[in-house]
Amino acid sequence: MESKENQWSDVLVKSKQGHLKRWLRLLLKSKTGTIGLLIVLLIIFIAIFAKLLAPHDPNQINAAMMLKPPAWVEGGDTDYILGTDNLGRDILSRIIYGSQISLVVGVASVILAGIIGIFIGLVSGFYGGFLDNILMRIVDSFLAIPTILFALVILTVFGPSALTLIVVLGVTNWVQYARLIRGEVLSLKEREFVRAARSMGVRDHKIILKHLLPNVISPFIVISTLSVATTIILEASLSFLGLGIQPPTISWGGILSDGRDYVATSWWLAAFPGLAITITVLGMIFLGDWLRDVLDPREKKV
Amino acid sequence: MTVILSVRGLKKYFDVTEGWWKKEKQYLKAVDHISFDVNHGETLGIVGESGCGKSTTGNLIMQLLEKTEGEIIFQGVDLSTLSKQQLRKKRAEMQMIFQDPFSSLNPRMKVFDIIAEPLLTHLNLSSEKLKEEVLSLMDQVGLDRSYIHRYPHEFSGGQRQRIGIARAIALQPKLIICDEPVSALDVSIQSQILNLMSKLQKELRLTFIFIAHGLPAVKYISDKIAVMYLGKIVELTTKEKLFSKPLHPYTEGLLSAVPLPDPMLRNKKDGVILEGDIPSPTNIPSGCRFHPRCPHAQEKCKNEEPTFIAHEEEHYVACHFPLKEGVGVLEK
Repeated sequence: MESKENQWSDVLVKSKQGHLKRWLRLLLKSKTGTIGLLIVLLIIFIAIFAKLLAPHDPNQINAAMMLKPPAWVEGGDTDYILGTDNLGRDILSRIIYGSQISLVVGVASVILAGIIGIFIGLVSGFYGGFLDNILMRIVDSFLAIPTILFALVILTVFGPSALTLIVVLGVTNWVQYARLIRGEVLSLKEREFVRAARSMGVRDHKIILKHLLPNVISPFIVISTLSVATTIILEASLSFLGLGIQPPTISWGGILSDGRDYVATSWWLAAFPGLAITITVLGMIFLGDWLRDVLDPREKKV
Repeated sequence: MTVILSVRGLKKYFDVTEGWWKKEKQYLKAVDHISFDVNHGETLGIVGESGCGKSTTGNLIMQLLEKTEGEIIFQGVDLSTLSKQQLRKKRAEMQMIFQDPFSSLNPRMKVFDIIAEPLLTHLNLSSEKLKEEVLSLMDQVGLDRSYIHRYPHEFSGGQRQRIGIARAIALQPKLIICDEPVSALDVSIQSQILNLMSKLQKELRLTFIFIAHGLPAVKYISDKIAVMYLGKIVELTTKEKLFSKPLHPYTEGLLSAVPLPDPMLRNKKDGVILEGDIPSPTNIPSGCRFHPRCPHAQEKCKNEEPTFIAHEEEHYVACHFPLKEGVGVLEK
């Protein structure tokens, strides 16, 4: 236990001091971790440089080029590598632009959920007692609501937009962080360094900020990478259902949704945006798994 | 000699009633009516088996736990009468050194931040003054100044304990409660740390309450020793008297359990080996709580609880039949 913990803090400490080499060595040890990181970096790169990378204007309607199959299939056009949709828009360009919204919604909602969850978790775990009871029952009731249903209701009431989507996904996701962080805090506050801080009269908010928060960040990072992945799927599902991102803003779920009526004859309309989602999510999960191995001593295989 | 801390009738009962439908409450009597005084500049050792309430006593004095009953009077003030604000100020005068040097230091803080924390909490120092102060504390406990920006995991157990000690003496407290400060360390390091602590005690005129589960560590550093059994102090006297002429059979048992380095002496030693385990503090035996394990137990011990009285000057014991010829550890 002790040595594992040492390695764990070792990794964090060294990285803080700029020992990137150490991280890199640890990363290269794990194949899936490397693949995951590469995928995530690639998606981020694509999202940032979408304008330069996309071969066509993603919203350019071209009646002459409707439902073209991918370039390597008979009847395909090399100009449109992944084919075109029912309005003659380039699928590749749409997927490239779609990565922006997927990432933004995924990351922003996780950050929002994280801020709420960490705060509630810290307060609940640290003070315990009645407050803890109340907060945890609230968490339980949130867990009892089906996420998709809740999101659908809110989006119908407030109207679908990227911002509402972020808020809705953030608000439904904070509970898992609150529970995780609370659990960590419960064990941390019995550790002797927290008791030491108390015995020397350090104020509560300082204990929370200086002793508890820095020690719950790494489990948070692990869960949040995995949670970005599920959020991207959720966003795609909502967009597919028509309550997510609205056109002309392009999202992967939206592309899927647009192609719904033509899937029987034109498989590429659904296959490529679906693939984009799968690869991104897989990359996030690989990265998250690796981070957990490195950051979280309890999940570590000896 | 002035009394710096007196504890009177201190009790701590934990409610361990299972289920809300049970009418009768069950209590774990961790500390059950103990009283003692500590003089300024001296060291009181508290020994006993694990689970006897010695650490709870330490936590109660430090106000980390709320007492059930009794008084803790520190420098003439009953600590429970203080407001939160006053208590926080008072905490500067009493500090604690912990058992586990691995969990007592925050893994995310550098040595500087750890030692500076009490100073930042209670004093208003400029950053240069603060650094100076931390460096001089590091000198005092024998830590190299170059370690100031390192993290706790880069140190060995003994060095970590030095960091913990530096943190405890930073505010120049009057009283330090040492909760088994050496029991997690290698034997060779133990003596270094004990030497450091007694050096600091002389230099800074500290008062120690030294909690330990074995007598050897306590023997070195203590002036007076209290032996605890199941939440009660069974014997309290000076180190010399305790080691040469113990009055309580439990003390005698503890003394016999101290290993002797000389095998010749070991064979001669006609001590008592304690049988059995410490009973559960939720179900304390009637009468004298030591009677089921006591080799000299009689009928009276089963029914009547002995009072804690001065058998002779400075020698308190709670036993109906104190040993007449107590067998101490053979003096070398």
